[in-house]
Amino acid sequence: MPPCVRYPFFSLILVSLALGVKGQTPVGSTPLRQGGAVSAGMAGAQAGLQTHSGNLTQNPASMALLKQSEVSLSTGFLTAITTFLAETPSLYRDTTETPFSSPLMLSGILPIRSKNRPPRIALGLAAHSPYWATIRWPEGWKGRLISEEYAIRTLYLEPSVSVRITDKIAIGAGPVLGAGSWYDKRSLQVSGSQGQESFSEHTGTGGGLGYQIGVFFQPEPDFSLGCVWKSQMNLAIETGEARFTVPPSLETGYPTLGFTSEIQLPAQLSVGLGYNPDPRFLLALDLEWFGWKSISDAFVTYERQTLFVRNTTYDLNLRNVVGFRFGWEFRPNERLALRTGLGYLPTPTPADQLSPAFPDGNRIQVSLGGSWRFYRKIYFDQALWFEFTGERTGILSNSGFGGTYASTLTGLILGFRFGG
Amino acid sequence: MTFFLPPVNETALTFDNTLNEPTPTCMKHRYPYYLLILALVLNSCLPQIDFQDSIFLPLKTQRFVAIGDGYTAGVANKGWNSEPGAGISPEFQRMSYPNLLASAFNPGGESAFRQPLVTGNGGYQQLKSYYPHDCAGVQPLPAIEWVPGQAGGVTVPSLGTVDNLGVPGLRLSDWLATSPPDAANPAFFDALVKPQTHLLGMVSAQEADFFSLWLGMEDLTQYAASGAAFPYRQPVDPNEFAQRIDTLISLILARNPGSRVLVANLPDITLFPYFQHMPHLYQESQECVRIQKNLFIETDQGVRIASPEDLILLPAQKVLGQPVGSEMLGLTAAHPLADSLVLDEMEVIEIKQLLVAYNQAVETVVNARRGRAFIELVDLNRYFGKMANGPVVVDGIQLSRDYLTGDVFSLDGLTLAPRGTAWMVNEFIRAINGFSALGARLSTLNLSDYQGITFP
Repeated sequence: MPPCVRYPFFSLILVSLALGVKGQTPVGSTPLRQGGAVSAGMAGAQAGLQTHSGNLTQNPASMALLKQSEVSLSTGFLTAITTFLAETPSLYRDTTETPFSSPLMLSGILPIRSKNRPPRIALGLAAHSPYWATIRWPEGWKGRLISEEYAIRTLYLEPSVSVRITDKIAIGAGPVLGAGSWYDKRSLQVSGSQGQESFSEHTGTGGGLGYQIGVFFQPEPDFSLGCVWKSQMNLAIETGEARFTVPPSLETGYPTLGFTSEIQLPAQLSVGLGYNPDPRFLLALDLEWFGWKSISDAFVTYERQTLFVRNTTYDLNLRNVVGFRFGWEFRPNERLALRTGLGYLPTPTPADQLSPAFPDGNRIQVSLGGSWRFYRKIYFDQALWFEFTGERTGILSNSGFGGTYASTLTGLILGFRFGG
Repeated sequence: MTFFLPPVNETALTFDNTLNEPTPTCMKHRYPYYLLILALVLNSCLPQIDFQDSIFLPLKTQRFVAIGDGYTAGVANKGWNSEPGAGISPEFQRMSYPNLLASAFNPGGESAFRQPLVTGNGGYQQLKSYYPHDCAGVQPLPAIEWVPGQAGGVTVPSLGTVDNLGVPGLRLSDWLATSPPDAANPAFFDALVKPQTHLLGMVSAQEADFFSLWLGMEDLTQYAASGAAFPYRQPVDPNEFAQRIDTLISLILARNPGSRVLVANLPDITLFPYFQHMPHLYQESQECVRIQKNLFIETDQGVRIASPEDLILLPAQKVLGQPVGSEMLGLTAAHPLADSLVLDEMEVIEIKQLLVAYNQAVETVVNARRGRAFIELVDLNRYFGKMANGPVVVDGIQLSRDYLTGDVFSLDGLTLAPRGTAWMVNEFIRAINGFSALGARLSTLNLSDYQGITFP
């Protein structure tokens, strides 16, 4: 490997760090595509591909057509920034802080061989974070009674099995074991006689079970199709804790309370297409449907209610959305691959439910990435991810808090693959 | 989304330095250049919002003068047996509506608005403790303490020209009074009014280019807050009210031709917690079970059981149910609540009729001058009316006419807490922004920066 071929990747990393490229978290409520650095380089388009183990997070069926075992590990350095302009006549404006987050993605494929025939069955295991968001507004900002800090983190563990039905068709399925955590901090309306502000903090972790099932069809060596259904995931929070910091005279009205809630993540149907017009080129296109509408409401039920702390049920009024992802890969030689991608995801959040905790909007995603096989079957993968929502004006109708938001999300995703 | 070139900063310079490092082999392929430029473009795409319609346009004014009563002076927490100096302190004065309004003229900067900040205080109410019941639906038990003021009342230092001409306790009825009327604060009267003989003289002497005028609140509240039981507190006749407002505005415009004038009308004071907090039934709770009993009230027509149309005044909570011999005050016909603690149905109608007449007068006076002078109405009656059927929610803050927790009114239930004042000031700001003659675009105040009732 001549140094000039190696250099671009390292220079890209260094430049990215120097300029503060920190990573990728979802700006709002649409999912983080953590198929690893390879998938991220193609904007996450992967439902119709069977090129590497990272496909496993999107389509468990494809792995039966991979002939080699492979393990991949990726992590991201992610950050999102949102700018806010209050609705007139307020001229208030503010920008979020930029907390780092670094979700991990791990996947492995093990084809089961029998004698000298190609494997018909493959086992797979993937661990990834489909939804991962942290948004932190500056202390004392205008909307602090609605949200000061909001974080949602999820981890899916997906063991799966894939069976090659014919040389061209494979199916795959498996359970999805979900875990998630939720943190919400906001100011309370009451204040102390010394001017001190009050605030609440809710923390909770939960788990749930779902499933995924996919089919992969490769009618021609240069053309493939994939289709995957992932069920809705409800991560039940059974032992959440709500803490309140209030003036002493109100402490009996704001005790520390346990609560139950649920992190609800939508069902997803993906249809993907892969095409190799030339051995050096790979094109991928995914269409995705997200069933947000069936997530009817958000709720927090406390172990007991007090005069001030009341159970809440909030109708999210989300809508189902369909987005697309397009990815392109170019392999100038057997050691090197370059990738780019473009994605578009409409927001499920209506304009009258726009919250500073989820300043969501229609997203355009642009990615750039590459892989370098630097030693036998060891690959170094990386991707730059950039995502933005244009200006979105809305109001959180039950709080009277409205304005215009614009968000960007940047990420550097790095990974290694072994095998393949 | 707007793509823009990044500003030259240290990061960019460091980046350039990296570029200048000799990399002869790779320069041949120019990969680093392309990648660096690409990375730069990606990083420069920070979220952008078009701020064109949200640029602050200052209110260009030489002097802003606010004319009014205690609601203009910044009186708060003034208690229920209020003395003329009650509820006055520098802390409260800094939260007066004209001072908050002036702060919006130059946000983040120093305000040119001059207030007659007192020395000492005139006594005020303070929330000493608050015991929320651990059962829903039962009202908490507040312990409100009276903090006495200094002997002799507050002192208004001689500060020269001041811009806040709010005189606590001064009614429009007293516009020709040359000595402090019984409810007016003598220190303020002597400092602000007396040098110009009377209220009429004080107003006509002002030279400024921007005025706000809010009068009549003390006329209504002093009468209504004492149960409409004292004829000497009878508010000024509506026709007189109209004529006096008209005269004051004429004097302002005659002395200051071309000046801008905001005139505020009057909110429905019967919706304030002072009149709304107490139910028309006697209530007590025993182990989270609410018990209700009929309440007997004294009216001009005699003693009778209170109806939902009667308003029991907030100070009644101090005496209601207190033992009178073997009975409890307010629970028998022999020991009814005094007339001064009740605004009965007829009196409520009387107050509301006065309010309508006063507001019609203000509107007529303003409309008559529109087009000929730079004058605008601030419709506080409509604005406060938003709370009539439930809370108004602003930036996640629930503003309501609920006592203590509504965040609009101070402990007396009649004057405004800082957050309520800021909320009201935002309506003045909207009026200024809509006042084309001013050419200003001011930002409304962040209500979360102002406190409602504070808890120990």
